[in-house]
Amino acid sequence: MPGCSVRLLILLFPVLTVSWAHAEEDDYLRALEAEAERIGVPEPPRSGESADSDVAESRGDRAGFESELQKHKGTYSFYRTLLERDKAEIYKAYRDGASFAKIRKMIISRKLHR
Amino acid sequence: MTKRFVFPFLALLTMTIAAPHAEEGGELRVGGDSGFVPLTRDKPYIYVIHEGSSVKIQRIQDPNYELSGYFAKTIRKCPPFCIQPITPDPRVAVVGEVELFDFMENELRNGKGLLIDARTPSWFKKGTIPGAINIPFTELSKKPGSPEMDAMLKRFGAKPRGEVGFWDSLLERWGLSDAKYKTEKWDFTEAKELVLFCNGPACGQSPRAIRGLLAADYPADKINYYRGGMQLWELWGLTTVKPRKSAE
Repeated sequence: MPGCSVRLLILLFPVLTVSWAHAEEDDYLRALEAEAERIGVPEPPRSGESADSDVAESRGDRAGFESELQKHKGTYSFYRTLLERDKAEIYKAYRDGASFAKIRKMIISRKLHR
Repeated sequence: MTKRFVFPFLALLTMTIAAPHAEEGGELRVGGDSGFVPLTRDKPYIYVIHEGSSVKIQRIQDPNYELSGYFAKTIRKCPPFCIQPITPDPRVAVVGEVELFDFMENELRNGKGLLIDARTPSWFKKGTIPGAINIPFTELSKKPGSPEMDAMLKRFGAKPRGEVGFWDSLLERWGLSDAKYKTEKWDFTEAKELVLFCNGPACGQSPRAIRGLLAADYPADKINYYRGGMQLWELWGLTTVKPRKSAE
């Protein structure tokens, strides 16, 4: 009879281990959700700019882009001679996430073909 | 015909002559006397794309700003919210904010990397790091070989190898063919570089996600752990965003 119990335990061992792991995972998730309920949004700064930016409201400024571009002297020397509409188009591409390599190509292309 | 050669030459000449003048134009003055606190010594701010819009990341400029709310808490119940080791696996690189800025400007911008907020959606919807997508750790710790995990690996750019021929196997085993990012089942050569984060040094969500990815054979050198997470990001007064869409 004792031998039978041992065999049963051996058979059930993998099932018990998996159940225990699942229970641990569930406990962790429950604790996480409870903690998430308590989270407060950080207070906004008393003055000046907010750290919290709503995506729709976020706007980059062109002066910042041009300052960054000035670090690439050759590219900037081309850029500054472009027509205003070309500059605006290039800035828009930058805002839309174009890589610097693409920005550079656009600048050179507009300089050489207009 | 001559014009085709002369114009590029003149363009190059203009570039050479213009360079010193451009230098005189001066860079954006940050730090020091200007009063503007940049992200780093030479980086005033950066832009990232979040949900299709450009978001400017910068420090809060109010000198009296102090962190408050959940991320200002110094203690949480342990377990489960215990202080985590510096890395969940010694093979995985740990990154800080400066490395994360570089990642955002390069791999993330060029589509070669993903910034993953590994927290559950209830956390993500309260605010995240711009550029991050939400893939909860529960999705990233699925059993290796499961359809869910296979779909995730494909999403990250891994390619199923199918049947690997004898000669390919042999050449790879002998080191004559590049097998650095290849396993029997997957080719991770084009797989994206990942940066995972969660709530901060006392958060176990991204470490669990990282362990799940490693168990599925995702290359450790393509995984980075931003241990500071939301807590350190907020502490530095860096821009956060509230997602508009439901978690992915």
